[in-house]
Amino acid sequence: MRVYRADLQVHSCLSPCGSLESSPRRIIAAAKARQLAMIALTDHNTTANCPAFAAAAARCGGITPLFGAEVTTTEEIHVVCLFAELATAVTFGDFIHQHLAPVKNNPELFGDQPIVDVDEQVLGFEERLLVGTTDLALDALDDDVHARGGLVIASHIDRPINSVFSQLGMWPAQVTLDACDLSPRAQDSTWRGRVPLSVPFVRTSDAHFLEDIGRQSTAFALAAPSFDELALALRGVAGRRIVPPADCRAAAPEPSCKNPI
Amino acid sequence: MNVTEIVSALGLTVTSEMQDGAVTGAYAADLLSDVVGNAQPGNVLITVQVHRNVVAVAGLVGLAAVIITHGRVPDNDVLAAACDNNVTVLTTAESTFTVAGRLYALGIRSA
Repeated sequence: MRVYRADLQVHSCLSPCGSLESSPRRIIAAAKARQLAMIALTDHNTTANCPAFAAAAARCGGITPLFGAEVTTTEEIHVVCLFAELATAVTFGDFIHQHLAPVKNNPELFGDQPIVDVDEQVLGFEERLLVGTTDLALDALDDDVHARGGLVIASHIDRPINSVFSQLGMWPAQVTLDACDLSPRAQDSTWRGRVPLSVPFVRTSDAHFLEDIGRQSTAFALAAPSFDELALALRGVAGRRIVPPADCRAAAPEPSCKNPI
Repeated sequence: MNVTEIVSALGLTVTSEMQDGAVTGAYAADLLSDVVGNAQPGNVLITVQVHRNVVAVAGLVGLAAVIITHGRVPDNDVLAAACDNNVTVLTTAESTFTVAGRLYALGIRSA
C-alpha cells in the first residue's frame, strides 16, 4: 500500500459561485502541481463540465479524475456524489437536471454558468440556476447513487447551512452515507460522537478558486489511486484505509520542492 | 387548548395515531436544528419538513404534534415511525403562514 492524497470536492467555473478561472484544465494542472493523486469535480447539481475534466486529466496524465456533483437534496442538504466513470456521471447529471427546480439563473446575481471544453472554449451556458434545490430526498438520493455504483459524502457537516445537522437536527437513521466532510476549522473530536463510527470523516477543499485546490485533502493508503480503492478505504477493508494527518506526515514526507523560490 | 381542538378548528388530516395532549404554544421552522434549539415541550410544530428526523426531533423536544403544510405528506415509513414513537403527525394543504395565522387567531402563541 502507498499513501495517496485526494481532494474529493472541487467546483469549476460552471458552479455559479465558482471562479471563472477554474476551468477543468486548470483544476487538473493545479491538482497535479499540488501532488494530489486523485481529484473530484463536483459542481452544484450538474456534471456538465466532467467531459472536459476527463479530457484534461487524460491529457495531463498521472492524476486520477473522479466525476460527480454536489447535489442539493429537497431538505437543502449538500451531498457530494462521486462516480468512477465519466459516462455514469453524465447520465447521473441528466437525472439530477430532471429533478432540479426549474428556476432560471440571473448571472448578475449569481454569476455565469459556463460549460467549457478541455481547451477552455465556452460550449454554452447552463441557464437553470444550479444553486437551486432538487426534489430528491436524502434517502432517495443515497439509494440512487449507490444503485449507480457511486459514493455519497455529506458535505461540510459542521456548517450551519446546507449540512445534515443544520437541516435534520441529528444524524439520520437508515441512510448509508459513505463519508462525511468536515470544514477546515472543525475538529474530528467535536463531531465524532454525533456520527456513527461506520461513517468516516474526510477533508476536502470544496475549492471554488484555483488557489484553494488541495487546501484540505485526505490521505488514503491504497494499492493504486482509483475509485474502487477509494471505496475500499472509506470502508476500511482489505488493508485500505484513511491515513490520519499525523501518520501521514510520518508515512509520506513532504516532497522536496522542485522549483525553490 | 389541546390537539383535537386544533385538528377540528383547522380541518387538519390526522395521518398517525392521535395523542391528544395539551398545546403550550407553536413553533414554525423547517430546519430541524432550529427546532431542537428553540421549540418548547408541548409546542405544535408547523413545517414543510417531511424527513424521518422530524419524528425523532418531535420526540426529543416533546412536541404535542407536527403539522406538515403545503400538501406535503411524509412517506409511510415515516408515518409508521411516528406511530411507534407516539408522535402525532397532521397534514394540511394550507401554507405555513396561513396555519400560523389561524393558530394565532385561536389564541396560540410562541412559547
